[in-house]
Amino acid sequence: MSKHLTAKKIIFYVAILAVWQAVADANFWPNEIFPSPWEVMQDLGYGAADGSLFYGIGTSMLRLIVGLAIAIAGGITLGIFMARMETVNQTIGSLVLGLQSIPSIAWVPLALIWFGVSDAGIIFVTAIGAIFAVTINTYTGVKNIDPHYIEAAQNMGAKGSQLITLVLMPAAFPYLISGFKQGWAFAWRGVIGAEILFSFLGLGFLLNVGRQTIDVSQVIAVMVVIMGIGILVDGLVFKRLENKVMSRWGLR
Amino acid sequence: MNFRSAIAAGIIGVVTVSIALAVFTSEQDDKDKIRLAFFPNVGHVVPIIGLEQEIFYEKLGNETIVEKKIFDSGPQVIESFFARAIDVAYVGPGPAINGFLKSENHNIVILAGAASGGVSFVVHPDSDIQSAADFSGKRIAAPQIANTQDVSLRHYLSEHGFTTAEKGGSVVVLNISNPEIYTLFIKSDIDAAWVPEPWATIFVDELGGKRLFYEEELWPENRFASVLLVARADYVESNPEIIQKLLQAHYDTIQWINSNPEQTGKIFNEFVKRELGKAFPDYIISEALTHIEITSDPIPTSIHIFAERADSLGYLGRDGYSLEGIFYDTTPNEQKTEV
Repeated sequence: MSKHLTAKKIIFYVAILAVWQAVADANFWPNEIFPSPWEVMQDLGYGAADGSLFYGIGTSMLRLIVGLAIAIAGGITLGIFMARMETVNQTIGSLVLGLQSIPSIAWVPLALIWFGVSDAGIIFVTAIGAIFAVTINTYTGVKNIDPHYIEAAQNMGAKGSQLITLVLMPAAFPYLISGFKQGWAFAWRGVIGAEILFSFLGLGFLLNVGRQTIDVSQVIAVMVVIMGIGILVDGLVFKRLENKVMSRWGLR
Repeated sequence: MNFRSAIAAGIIGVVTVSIALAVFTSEQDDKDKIRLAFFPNVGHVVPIIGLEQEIFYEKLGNETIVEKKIFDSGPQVIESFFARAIDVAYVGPGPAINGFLKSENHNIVILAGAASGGVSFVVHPDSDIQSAADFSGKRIAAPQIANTQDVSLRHYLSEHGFTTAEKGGSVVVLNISNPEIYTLFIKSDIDAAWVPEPWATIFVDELGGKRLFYEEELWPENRFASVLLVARADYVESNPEIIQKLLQAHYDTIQWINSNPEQTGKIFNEFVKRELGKAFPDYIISEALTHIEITSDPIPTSIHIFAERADSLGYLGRDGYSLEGIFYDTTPNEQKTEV
């Protein structure tokens, strides 16, 4: 099955490239506006040659990792409190739902004023964009735990942090994982978006350079890199993690 | 329940009205209109005085409406040219060159100069920068990627052996708009800034910054084109008369400015106050004006040097470039007066 699938995928992507090249060659639009895949490849080459591409990837990934880590730590804490304390849920919980509807980019002006043009500002945008997805998933996960497990643990004397780390989190783990996955998706969008608006290093900055210099092939090259990293992280990290957890928790 | 449906109806109403407004106020191309873009910077006094003193209206007559569009940075202006949202603009040579090279059939051309100089490198009072030797690890701001100051700053850095942070080097270049640079300057978030007037003078006089050098000191004969009058070539082709009148107005305005420096500052400030809701102190503007030369000379050698620098920064694409045809021949039969 997998051989067949790979062949299908390869044919599909080759076809896309072929059509793209053909449209570019047909010169409906000038090259400056619609570059060919070959030019985009060349631009990736230039970016790799002067190192800016690798520094860009490194900077963006670092901000993502820090931001996502903050979001995961904060989101789990908040989610558990919301699930276990009705007052927290009724107050902060309602706010969380509202805050989740704010796109992370909308935090950029505040971040610029509070943190200035700095890594901290971009990390703030990243973290706040991802934290509520983690919170809501954690909340749902903890709420869905069979109450008998919790009662049994409490009868055996589990309390406070013990209850949280040894009972609640493991029991809610499948939900936590999908929270992380959603959080990562929000965080990645947040990092790139914030970098474009901050125009302060990272892949978003490189994309901005392409825009300001009207270098469309550089814009597309950076977009391809952003997509590539997305696919890679999704496929290599989160899909595997999810599969493992799902089968270990007997959900599949 | 009734309350809720009232609120819902209210929201729907507001949204509908907003969308309708947005749809009906979107613009359309008009023949007897010239859309003129410029920045509220001192280097752009020509269009501002020209409009305020009605020199533009006098020359262009009643049949041509001048529609002004205020921008903050050159690359935005070039994008608007590409979108055919403006016809002529006052911009720096960086965006002008980029627009000429990147547009289809070189659709952006230089008609005349508007200013020379008027850019300075200002160091924050808390920074220990004494000369270029101290740049390592510093944060230096310039208005926008690929704009004129950005090209000059990055060229200056590489000339002094520095690499910027996005290529793994030690100097962080922050590309943000002038008002934001002002905020960062107040917050001590940057070490220095490469900025046009009046910002350079504001940083020095109001915020205690130190002017390390005027950019023109780095140029042959202390002159370089910092603001140019550019136009969409197809607009020029189809409206040669309007362009001739505009150029005449441009030359007349320059003459007026150079013989009325004091009034120029006042009128500029009134304009800024009306358009942006906030004026600069008058003394800042009159000082800023002394740091800039208002001239219709586009100083072509400086444009060619700019192009070389932008190219070495990778801003002009990878296939080489040629500036042939960037200066539009604006002298048909009428005599023009260089001021």
